[in-house]
Amino acid sequence: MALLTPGASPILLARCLLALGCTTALAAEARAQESPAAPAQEVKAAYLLNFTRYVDWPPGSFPDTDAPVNVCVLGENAFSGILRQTVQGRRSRGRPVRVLEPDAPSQAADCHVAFVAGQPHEIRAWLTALRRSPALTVGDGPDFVRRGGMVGFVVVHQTLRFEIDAAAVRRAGLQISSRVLALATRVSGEPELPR
Amino acid sequence: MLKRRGVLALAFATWVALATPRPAGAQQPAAGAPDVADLDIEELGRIHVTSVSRRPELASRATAAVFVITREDIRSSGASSIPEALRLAPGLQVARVTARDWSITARGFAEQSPNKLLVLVDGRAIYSPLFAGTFWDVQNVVMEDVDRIEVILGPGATLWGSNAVNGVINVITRSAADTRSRLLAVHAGTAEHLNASARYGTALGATGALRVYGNFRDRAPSHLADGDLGKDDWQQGQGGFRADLDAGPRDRLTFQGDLYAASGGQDVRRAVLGPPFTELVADDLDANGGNLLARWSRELGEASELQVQAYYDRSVRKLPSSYGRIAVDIADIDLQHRFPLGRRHDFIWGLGYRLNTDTVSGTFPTALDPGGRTTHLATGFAQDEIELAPDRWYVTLGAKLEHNDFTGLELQPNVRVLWLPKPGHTFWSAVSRAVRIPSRLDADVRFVTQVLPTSPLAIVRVVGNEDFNSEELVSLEGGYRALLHPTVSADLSLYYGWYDRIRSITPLAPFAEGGLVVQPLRVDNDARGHSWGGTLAATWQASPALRLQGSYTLLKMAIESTEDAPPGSFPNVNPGYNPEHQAALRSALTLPRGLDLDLALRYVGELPQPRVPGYVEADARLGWNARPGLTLSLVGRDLLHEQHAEFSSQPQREIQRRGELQLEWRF
Repeated sequence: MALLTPGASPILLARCLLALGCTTALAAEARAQESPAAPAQEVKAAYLLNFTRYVDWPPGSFPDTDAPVNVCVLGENAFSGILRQTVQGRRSRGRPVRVLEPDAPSQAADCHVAFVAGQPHEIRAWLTALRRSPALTVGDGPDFVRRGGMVGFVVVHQTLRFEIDAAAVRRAGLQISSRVLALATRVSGEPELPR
Repeated sequence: MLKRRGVLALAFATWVALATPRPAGAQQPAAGAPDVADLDIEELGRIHVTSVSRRPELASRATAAVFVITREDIRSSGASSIPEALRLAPGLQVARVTARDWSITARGFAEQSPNKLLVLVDGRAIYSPLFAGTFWDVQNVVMEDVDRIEVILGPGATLWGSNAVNGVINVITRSAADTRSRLLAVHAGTAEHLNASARYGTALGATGALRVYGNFRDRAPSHLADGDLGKDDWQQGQGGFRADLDAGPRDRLTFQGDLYAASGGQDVRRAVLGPPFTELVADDLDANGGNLLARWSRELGEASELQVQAYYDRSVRKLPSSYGRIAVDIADIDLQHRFPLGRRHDFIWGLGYRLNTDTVSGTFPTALDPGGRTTHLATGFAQDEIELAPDRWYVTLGAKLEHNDFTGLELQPNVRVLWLPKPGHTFWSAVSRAVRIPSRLDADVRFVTQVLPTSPLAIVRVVGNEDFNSEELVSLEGGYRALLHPTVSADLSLYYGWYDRIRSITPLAPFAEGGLVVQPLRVDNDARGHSWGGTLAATWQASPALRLQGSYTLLKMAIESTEDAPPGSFPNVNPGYNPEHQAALRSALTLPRGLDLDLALRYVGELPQPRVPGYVEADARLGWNARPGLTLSLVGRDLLHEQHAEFSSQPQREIQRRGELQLEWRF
C-alpha cells in the first residue's frame, strides 16, 4: 500500500512484556519467514472482516438484527474487489457483511468499518465526514492514526500488523475487543494499560 | 451473446476462478496461499505479505487473457465513452472510424463493424443480432457510474455463447448501494462539445438503494481528410435507473433500465439508378430505444448461488437513404446455478432462451427479405472446474449447446488448464471452439452496391444466403503471468486460431429483372484462415505515487478461399484492416495537493489495405481532486498531430487534436 511503512519493533517488544498478546506477537515474528505468503491487500481485507467480529457498535447502529455490517472503502477503489471477494459468503456474528464504496462524504453515514486511503487532505476530509457515524476507521500507516484515524496498518518484518488509537475508538462510542487490542503493535490513548 | 452480467459473473468466477466478474477485483490468492479470509485474527499477523503494490495486479488464476479496466483507470484516462476507455485494454484493437462509429475487435477481423466480439452491459448483450456487431454510438453509459470493464481476449463462447469468438467485453456499472450520492458530471470540449450527466441516488429501505440519472451528449462532426466537416454529428439524450434491493438475508434483486433518443447525420455513398450512378448523401440518422432488466440471485451457501435474469431490449434506427427504419426487439431469460461438488469440483450450469424480432423497412439500395423476422435461441451449458492438485493444478471442462434458427445446434466446448508452479507465477492454456452464428444480414440482405452505366442498366446486388453457416474458430491459447518483483507484474498471452467457414462472396450468373441486368453476389462460407499473435503487458509500481504500464500486441492474420470454393469466390474478410503491431505506454503520477498527472502514449501500426498510415498519439490529463467528491480535470487527446486517420472510411475521416474540461461533483 501506498502508505505502508515499517512498524516499530521495540514498541512491539515493550508491549509484549506487559500485554496479553505477547506470545502470539513474538511467535508471529519468529515464524514470519516460514509462514505462508499472501498479498498485503488480501491480508488487509481479511483483517477488516475480522474487525467487524470484534467491535461492538452503539445501540441504533443497525436498523434491525438481520441488517448487514457495512464495510466501506473510501478513496481507494482498487481495493474493494478483493474485499468483496473476502467477505462473500462469510458472516460477522450472524450478520451478512456488505462492502460499500460511498463516493461522496454525504453517503458515508452508515459505514460500520471504513477503510480510508488516498492523499492526506482526502483522508482528513473523509475522517471529518465519518465523525458523524459510528465507524471504526482503518487506514495505512502510523500517520493514519496521527491524522485522527483509529486503526493504522503497519508492516512489521514483512507481516501486516496495526496500531490502534483506543481513545478515538472510545470517542466514537465503539467497544473493541481486548483480543484485537492485544494484537496491536501499539495502542495509544489507553490509560488503563500500564505503560 | 447469451450471458448476462451476474450470470456471467458467476460463470466467469468459476471458470477462471478469478474474482473478476462478481463485484470483485482481479485477484485471487497467490498460489500456495491459504484462504486468508478464513484465518482468525491472530493468524493474520503471521502471514508473510508478498505484494505491497497499490492495486491488485494479477488476475492470477484466470485461464484466459483477461484485463480489467478499473474505475480508477477510467477516471485517470478521462474517458468520456466506453470505446475511449477500451483503449486502456492491452490487446484490443480500437479505431475511431467516424465521430460516432468505432471499430473495436480483438485478435484481428477488424472491419467497420467487427462481428466477432461480444459486448455486454450489465449482462445485457448489446451485440446486434441483425447486423452482427455493436452500435457504439448509442451505448451511452454514464462513465462515473461504471464499476469496471472486463475484457477477455479470445473465445468465451462456453460461458457467453455464440459470437464470443475473438473476445468478450463486459461493462459493469456500480451497484446502486454505492451511488447513493448525487452526481453532476460535465465534460465540455472541442469535439465532445458536451457530455453532461446528473444522477440522484438514495437509500431505499434499510439496505436497498436506487439511482436515477439523465445524460445529454453532443458530439461535433469529424473532419474529412480534405479539411471539410463530415455529417456525422450526434446528439443523444438518455435517462435511466438502477435499484438494488436485499430481499431477505440471501436474496438480492436488481432492476435497471434505460431510455434514449438520438439524432445525428451520416455520409452515405449509395448507388442510384441513373447518372451519376453513385452519390454521396448527407443522411439523417435517428435512433431510439430502451431496455429493462431484472435479476434475482440467491446465495445457497459458500461458493453456491442461483441466479435468474430477464431483460427486454428495444432499439430503433432510422437511416432513410439505406436500410430505412430498423426496429429490433429482444427478450431474454437466463438461469444459472453454481455449486461445489465434493471437495474438488466447482460446478456451474445454466439455461437460457432469447427471442429476437425485427422489422426493416428499406427497399433500395438496401432491403432485407423477408423484411421482418422472429428468431429463437435456446442454450444450455455446463462447466466443471476440477482441482487436480490443490493450489497447483486445475482443469476446467465445459461446453455450451445452443440452438439457433439458422444453423440448428451448435456445440461450443472448451478445455482449460491452470498451473501454479509457485506463488506469483501462473501458467494457463486453453483449447476452445466458438462460432459466430448468422445474422439477419448474412441470411436475408439484398444490397445494391453498384449500378453500372450499361444498356440496359446493370446492378450488382449482394444477396444473403438462407443456408449461410456459422463461422467457426478453433483456438489454442496459453499464457504466463508473473509477479516478478513486489512492484512489477507481467502478463503474456499467445494464441493461434484456425478459422473456417468464414464469410465469402460468390458471383452468380447474371439475370434480367424488370428491365435491369442483375449481377448477384451471394454470401457464402467459402473462406478460411488463421490468425496468431500475442500480447505482453507489464505494470511497474515505481513508487507509491507513480505507476507505469506498458503493452505490446502482435497480430498476424491470413484469409484465403477454400479449395472447394466456387469459381470467382472471394473472402469477405480483409486482413488489411488490421495493424500488425500495437504498443502503449501509460503513466499515472500522483502529485501533492490532490493533483494527478496521467500520460498515455500509443502506437498503432499501419493498416495495409486500404492503407491507413501507422501513428503515434498521446493523451494527457491533469486532474485536481479538490476534496472527496469533487474533481476537476483538463484532458488533452491525440495531442501529437493536428489530425490523423485511424480506419479507412468513405469519405475518409480524420481524428483531430482536442481538449476537454471535466467536472465531477458528487455530494
